[in-house]
Amino acid sequence: MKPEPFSSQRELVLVGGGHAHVQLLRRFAMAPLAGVQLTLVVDRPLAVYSGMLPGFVAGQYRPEELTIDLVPLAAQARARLVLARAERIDPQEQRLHLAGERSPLFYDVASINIGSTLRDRELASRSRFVLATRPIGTFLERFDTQLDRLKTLPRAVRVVVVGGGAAGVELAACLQARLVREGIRTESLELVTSSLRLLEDLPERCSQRVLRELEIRGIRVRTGAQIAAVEEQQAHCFHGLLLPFDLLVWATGPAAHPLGALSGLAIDQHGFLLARPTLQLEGHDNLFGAGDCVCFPAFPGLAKSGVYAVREGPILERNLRSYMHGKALEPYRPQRDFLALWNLGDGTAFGTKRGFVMGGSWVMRLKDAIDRRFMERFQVDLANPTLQMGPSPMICGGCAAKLEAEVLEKTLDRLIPISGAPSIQVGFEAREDVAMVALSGGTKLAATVDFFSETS
Amino acid sequence: MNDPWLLGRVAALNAVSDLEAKGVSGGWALAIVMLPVGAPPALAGELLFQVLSGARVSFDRAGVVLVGGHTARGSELAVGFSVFAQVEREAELRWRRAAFQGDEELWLTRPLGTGILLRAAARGQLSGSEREALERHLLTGNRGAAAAVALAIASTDVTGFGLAGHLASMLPSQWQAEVSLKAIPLLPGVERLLRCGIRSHFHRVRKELVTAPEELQADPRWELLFDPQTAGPLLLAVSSNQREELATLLRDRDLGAACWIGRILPRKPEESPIRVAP
Repeated sequence: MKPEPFSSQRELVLVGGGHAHVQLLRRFAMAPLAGVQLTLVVDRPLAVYSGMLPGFVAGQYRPEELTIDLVPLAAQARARLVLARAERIDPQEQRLHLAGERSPLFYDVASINIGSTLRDRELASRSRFVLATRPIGTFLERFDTQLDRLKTLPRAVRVVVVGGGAAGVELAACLQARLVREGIRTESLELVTSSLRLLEDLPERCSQRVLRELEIRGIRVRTGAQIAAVEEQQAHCFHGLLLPFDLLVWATGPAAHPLGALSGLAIDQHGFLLARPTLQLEGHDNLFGAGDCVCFPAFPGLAKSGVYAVREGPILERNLRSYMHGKALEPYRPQRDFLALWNLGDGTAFGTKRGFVMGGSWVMRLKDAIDRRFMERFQVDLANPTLQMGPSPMICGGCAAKLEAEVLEKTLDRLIPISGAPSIQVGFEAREDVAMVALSGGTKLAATVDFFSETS
Repeated sequence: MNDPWLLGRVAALNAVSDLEAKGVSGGWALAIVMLPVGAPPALAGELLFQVLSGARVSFDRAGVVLVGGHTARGSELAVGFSVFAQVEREAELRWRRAAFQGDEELWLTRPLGTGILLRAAARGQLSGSEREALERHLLTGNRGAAAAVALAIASTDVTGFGLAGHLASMLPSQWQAEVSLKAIPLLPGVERLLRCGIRSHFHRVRKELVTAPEELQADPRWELLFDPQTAGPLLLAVSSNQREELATLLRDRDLGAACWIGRILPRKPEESPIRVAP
């Protein structure tokens, strides 16, 4: 089979390797989209699954168990992979501008799934002893570095976790479990939030239950405490409280990636991209978005959660296909209530569904099974890639695509030798990589030629 | 390499590398770009833009000015560059062939394995970290190592004919190269892929060039001698009394991957140009 003819080729550029896009890649691998050149733009080739991040902190998962390798996945989807950070989009010119030396990429259709950054991240950038949950792509290495440092401290450690949402709660509990497991003596572990209660998006009884779970584990919870300033080893709260720390975990809520504002796209007051239920961005039919980086005016108050990105994936995929084929798009309807599960790091988990609150080791087994099932779908065996292969794997010629050396030698030998050209100092007969000629006036010129093909 | 920007970037680096391997820097370049017959004008223009803007990055860094070019239509995207430069100090030029004394060492400035890795990339068998390392390697070029050329007696860059092919072409008939298989530096993933049996489409074992005991021919690294390189390293023959100076220069320029791979020996008439040692 030949590769797609260029005449029918359109460019679909996927920006970011979030939970929606990894599903898209998997589905495009199984059912390719005819006439479309797929390009995936990511700054790192590994995507971290946020659902298992607390478990990694607790020491329950190895890095590879919560990491999706985007390179084999993109190869299975026959996507071109561009390793660069997306800076902004020019919707008029239909170009994606990249950081560094890369030229802007043209798109016919683009989809954005770049996640979020953290609120007040700049506050926390003052100290080397801060561990921020974003960028998530580098979290695993940064966590290991901080943990190794804590192990070397000669005294009992003081840890402060900032953020009263699901991430802060899970990280505080999982970090406590890890410190115990590593035998690191702990002077204090505090969870600090500016909210008046933990998990404020959820019913009061959830907050109560989670508060109890944390307190049993010796974690002190401070509500209504907003961080005003961070120094090297202490944080100041607005009401005067001083929190000394050896490690400050920054798990505040999501903030928008600057790409939306820099691109002049429609955004809400926080900078999140405005999306329609079709997952198309407001004002541009050929721009799609999913996950934490978008918000839906049609569904106000929707929390930022990986759960939504996961559910948006299949709809994004179907709508991109429909859009490319000129068919009608289907609307996304976020689930009103979903099973939310939080890992407490000690083999138990806590969760809610439809107002019911549950906890215990069976809940952790359920969470582990759900997470592993999700991750399994993106694992590619490199020795034997199992997802369906492309119709015609491209052969890179590069400069490997040379004529065989012996044939070259023999053929060149058959040509009549060049004589009577004294200005040629290194020429045909020398069989060097570079030729040299003497110009009048004594100047010498060196010359070479090289040729590269994309395929052969 | 189905990425036109990267194709232009790497092709230009490769073209410049031929001159850098000889000790020549700067100059001017002319491009020939073949665009796919089926590509409509807008797409062809986009491909041309990506290829040339990628090439510009490489040329700008090498002090080479792209002064013109020519386009054609063909079966696939392809790009070539002719680069020419004024020779500033002829005495510092190093050619592929030289008059060896017999005390020379062979040095390779960067690792090998791009042929195998690019094939594995096309088959979807590269991991993320291997792919990152490959891209970094392809974009490194030989500019940093070019200063070492003046210390060498003979110099070439290792490209499509692989280490064995390029090394053999360095050797006049009275000299033989002894290469230590264990000393050859590999890119991440190459060892794993060699064991999986992955080879470049242009991989050809040329036993007439190399003599090796049976057990070394069974070593996966044996195949590496014949792996065609894209944007490959410099191969230098350096007199052993220049060794310290070379090591210092490589260290100062952060070329830690550069290493000794073998030595030059006298050759008997019936012997092959290269002999492999463990």
